[in-house]
Amino acid sequence: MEIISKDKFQPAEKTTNAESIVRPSLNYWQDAWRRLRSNKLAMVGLVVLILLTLLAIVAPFVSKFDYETQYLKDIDLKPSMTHFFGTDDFGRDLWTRVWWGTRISLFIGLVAASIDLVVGVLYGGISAYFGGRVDNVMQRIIEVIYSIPLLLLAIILIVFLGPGIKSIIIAYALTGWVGMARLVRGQVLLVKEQEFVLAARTLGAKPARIILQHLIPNVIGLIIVQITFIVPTAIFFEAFLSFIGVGIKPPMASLGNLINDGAHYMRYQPHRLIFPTIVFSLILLSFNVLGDGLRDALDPKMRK
Amino acid sequence: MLKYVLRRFVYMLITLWVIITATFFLMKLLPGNPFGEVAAKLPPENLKILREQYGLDKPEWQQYLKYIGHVAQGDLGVSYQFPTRSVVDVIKQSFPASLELGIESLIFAVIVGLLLGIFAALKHNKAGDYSAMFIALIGISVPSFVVAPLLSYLLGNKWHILPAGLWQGPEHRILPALALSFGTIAILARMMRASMLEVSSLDYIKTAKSKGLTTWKIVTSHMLRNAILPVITILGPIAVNVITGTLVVESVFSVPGLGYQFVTSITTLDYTMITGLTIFYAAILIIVMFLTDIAYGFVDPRIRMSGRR
Repeated sequence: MEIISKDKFQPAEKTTNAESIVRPSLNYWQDAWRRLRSNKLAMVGLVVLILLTLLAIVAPFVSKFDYETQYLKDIDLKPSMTHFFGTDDFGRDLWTRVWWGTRISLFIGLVAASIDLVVGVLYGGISAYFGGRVDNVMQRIIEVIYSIPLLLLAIILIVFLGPGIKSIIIAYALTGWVGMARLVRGQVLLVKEQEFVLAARTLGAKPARIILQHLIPNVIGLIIVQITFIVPTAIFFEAFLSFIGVGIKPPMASLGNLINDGAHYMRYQPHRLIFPTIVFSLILLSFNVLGDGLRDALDPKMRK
Repeated sequence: MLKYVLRRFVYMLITLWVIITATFFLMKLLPGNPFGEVAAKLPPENLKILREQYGLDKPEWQQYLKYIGHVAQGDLGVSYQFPTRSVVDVIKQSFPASLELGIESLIFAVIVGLLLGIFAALKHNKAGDYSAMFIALIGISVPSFVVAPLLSYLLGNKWHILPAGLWQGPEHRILPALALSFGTIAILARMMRASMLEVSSLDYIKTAKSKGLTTWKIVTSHMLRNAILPVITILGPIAVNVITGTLVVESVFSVPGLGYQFVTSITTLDYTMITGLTIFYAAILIIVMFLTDIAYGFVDPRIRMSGRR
């Protein structure tokens, strides 16, 4: 039989800080950021987006050319050191035009998202918070708007309003907010039955305060995720409209009309299609990956 | 159930009515003379007769009711640019090509999309899953108006594998259908993957596994049936995707379909054609959404009970 030595039975040392929390405590955002950072694909998306945004802001200023001046001597040049992306059939520098287009696309995306955010959150929040008859009426209106095909409505609106950035944004804003409103309403319905809201109400908080201070913070994660999907939708929207000829008109550059032009000339000058296409796809791809990543990071419950 | 169907039907009618009304009043907003340049030179008496002939002298609400009546009877008016062609004739003439293209791309997309989704779910969190989902992500991010010209250029012009355009033999169908199916494949694959993953954690699948069934058997006879149900909900987005896709794909590949007509009418500012085709497309989409709701109501009783999507 094995002999068990006595020194294996020493009393445990008393440690005073056994209960102490070693790791720093993280709030919701720090925790979300930590989760997002560990998602490589989403981080690549974020970095690409930041790079593209910087280029869209800086490149047109730094470039020797502007987006509309025509140099008829330099028609249809292939990419070179002076014209990084080549030139088009009016001798306009494609590098500058692509970044101008990116700028416009991002601008449309951000404005559309802001409108969606304000209208959708207010509408959804009010509808869910008050409930009952108010909710009923507001939801019936939403159901009708929701089933109107957005793109078709936009096409006829723009045909009649005249093309341009403003028309595109108006057309998008008219129906785009519905998705956000539905989402916010669903989430608010879920949150508003919880005890802390009841407590706030018992303490005499007004509806506006409850919505802004208690309900919105609880749905903000969802809203952010939704925005990362709205921006690419709006960008796609502009590009699609420009592609079929009702969006932004030349000489103003937009990714949509650059791709449209490129598609016409691709047989002889493939660079005119390839560069705007790559930038456009990168924007959409990055937003989508980032959105997926944010969804996992901001809403751990949703994660599989 | 009947109440639910009726309710959705009423919504469908309201939505259609909103669209028809919107198009009517947008038409009224148009600046200028409805009879074009020539009519501006006509003496006032003739113009008055013309206006009477088209009912433009009546108050707007009467014109509006008349317009609704016409649309309800399937009369969408006459082309503004080519007064000999009625909108309905154009639809009859060019819709079949679009429909064929749409169906071909749908068949292809359903096969590839579902397979991709199932494959990704089976290889969950492995390399296969990631690559399948990356393909799907690209399908969502790279829209048809990028895919279509690229396909036409690469396969058609550069490598001469398939015709780069036109609509004649079966070989002319492949590229447009392929270009049109990209987005749909992506939507379907993502949906199918999520739905398969959800089903795969259920108890009856464990039972099937412990009985010793092969993966093939489990997937085909146990998982698919339940996993495929939620896919019905995305029929609406898919229909939107296919229709907006045809607008682009037909223009790129010169397919003589309705999408091509629509884009042409937009570029030539053929107002009656634009509004007529918009109403037609809207009607298709709204009917698809209606059928989706009904189908889902049948499939999932919880939806029917709450009456909300």
